[in-house]
Amino acid sequence: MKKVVLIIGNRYQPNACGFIREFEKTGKKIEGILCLESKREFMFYAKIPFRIIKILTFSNVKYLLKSIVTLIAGKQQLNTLKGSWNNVGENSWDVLGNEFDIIKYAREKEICVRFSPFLSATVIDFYTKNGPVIFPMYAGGILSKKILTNPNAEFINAHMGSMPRYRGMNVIEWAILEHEPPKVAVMVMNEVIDGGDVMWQKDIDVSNEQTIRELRTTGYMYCYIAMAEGVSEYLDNNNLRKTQENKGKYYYRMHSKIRELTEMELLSRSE
Amino acid sequence: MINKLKAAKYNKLYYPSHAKRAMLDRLEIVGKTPSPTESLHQTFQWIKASFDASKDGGSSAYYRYGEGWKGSYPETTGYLIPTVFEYAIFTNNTEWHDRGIAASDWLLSIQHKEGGWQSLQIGVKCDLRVFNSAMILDGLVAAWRVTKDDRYLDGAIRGAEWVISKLDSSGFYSKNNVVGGGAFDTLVCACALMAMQLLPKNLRQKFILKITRSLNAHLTLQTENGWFNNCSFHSGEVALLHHIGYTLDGLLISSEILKDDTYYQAALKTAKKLLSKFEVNVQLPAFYKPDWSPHLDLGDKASLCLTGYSQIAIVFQKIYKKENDLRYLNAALKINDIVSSIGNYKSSNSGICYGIPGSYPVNGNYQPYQVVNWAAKYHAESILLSLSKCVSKSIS
Repeated sequence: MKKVVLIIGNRYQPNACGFIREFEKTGKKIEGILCLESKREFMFYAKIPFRIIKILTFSNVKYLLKSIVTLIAGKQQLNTLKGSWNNVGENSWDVLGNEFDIIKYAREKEICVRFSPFLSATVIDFYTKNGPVIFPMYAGGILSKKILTNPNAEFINAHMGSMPRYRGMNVIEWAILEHEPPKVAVMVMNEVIDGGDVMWQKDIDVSNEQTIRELRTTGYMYCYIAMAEGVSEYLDNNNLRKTQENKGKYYYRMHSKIRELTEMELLSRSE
Repeated sequence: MINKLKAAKYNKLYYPSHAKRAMLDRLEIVGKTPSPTESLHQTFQWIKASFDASKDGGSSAYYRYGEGWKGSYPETTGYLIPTVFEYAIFTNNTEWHDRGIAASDWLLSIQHKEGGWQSLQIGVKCDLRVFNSAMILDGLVAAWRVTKDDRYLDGAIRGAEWVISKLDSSGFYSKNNVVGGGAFDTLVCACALMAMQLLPKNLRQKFILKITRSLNAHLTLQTENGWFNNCSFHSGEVALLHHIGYTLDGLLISSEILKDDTYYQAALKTAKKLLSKFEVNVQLPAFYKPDWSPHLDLGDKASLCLTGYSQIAIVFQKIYKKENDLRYLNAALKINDIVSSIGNYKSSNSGICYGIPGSYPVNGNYQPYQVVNWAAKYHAESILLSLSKCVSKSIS
């Protein structure tokens, strides 16, 4: 039987909280939690003065000077302009709001918790030495080949778009704009970004959403629900994994004008 | 260090307006992003200064930091004309219509009796050049469309005949041409087609056959991954984004006129690559190596070729219109914002006020320390396209 080890970025991560809640409903158990942040013990606080000194590096001082010049000249930095297409607030699970402390929950439920500052092959080897493990991913970013080729590890990711049609970013918005039904795809990650085997897809009901913020909030909720359902079903049935056809498109961050079009489309749907 | 000081002296970086711009570029600080219409007006403010600088009806090639305004440039004045007419319609301002006519008349006045035009700017002695002449056809055809004055059409046909007469046996324009010709000559084909399609059917057919053969020859320069050989001033090494822009636009226009999808598909292949490159890295370097890796012309980083940027934005918008694929429009709008922000630079020096530099930062390898009229032309055309006001280079 495969074990389930949840990988999170921090103890208050709301989408991971949602996954835990939904996964509990399936009657299955999380065996471990790997938190990719340093454990806040004495040394963490002892190092704070050194961290402050570290901030005063050449690049940071240069950045500060650049910011002052930008402000005085009434201009902007080129990177700020590029960053404006990221819509950081909406592209983060923070739209879900805080739920509970995952570490506290794990201790109450006697789930083993490990801390690591980053995801390494050694950490994964530790978990997989006694058998296959499924890792629902809520942190870790793009994984190295060394990690991905561990035969006992499967890294599961929920993506807010139907596969293989919608790969990349802002895909729930792109689906709305292209009059396609938005979906969540739960995938086993591989070296191709958003190119892994799909094990579960779920329609997203966005009939009441009128703004991109509302759309993404609903999308993130469906992501953890689909992830919980997908992982639970996959534990019972290994044959759910299906290789994607290689005919998808990659989508990218939206320009503000295209976002406006998307919001207009959302409004017209709700009317 | 000594070379840097020499460059600073040569480019007169001791002028406050030059020094400020160079410093801001170095710090990657740009203007606030203006609205597309604001940016269009700003760019035309610089274009007006470029016309006023030369006083002969043409537009000055560029403002060079070390030397000031240069003479009128026949080639770029030629392809600036359709954009000038578009802007006249957009603003309902007859001044720009008159400037377009004056520029067209000037081009007719300097047309060589053989049919071609000289290379480089007025005042520099040089021979007739295929690429430069072909770009002028774009302007004369636009002038004929606006005025229906046959002088412009006659000039364009004579020019096109001269251009086509320079085709070699393998279908390339290897003689009387920029660096012996290259992939960018697809735009030569397209401009010749623009003129020749206006001839009666029985007269145009033989020319169109020759141009088609030439286009097919140029397609062989495209590699499997969409990169183009002979697509820069230094053939074979790296491809310059500006020349890739010419190449793709030439293929798109030719495909539209000839109703041949082969050329469109070739352009699409490269455009797909550029879309992915731009969106993943949020920039397109000025020079690409054959494997599409950037050529780092500034040591540890790559400069941007802003003309190429706007040309690629135009290509993306044309592809969006054909494919109805909003991803291309999305990228084009981002590119327009980047160029608009870099161009949003107010100065008491008319040479750099709201002008689009050849390179960003201004010391990049392509046209360093120069504010060029062709960058302004393509940026204005891209903005007009995004406002759905531009029909230049269209066949209808």
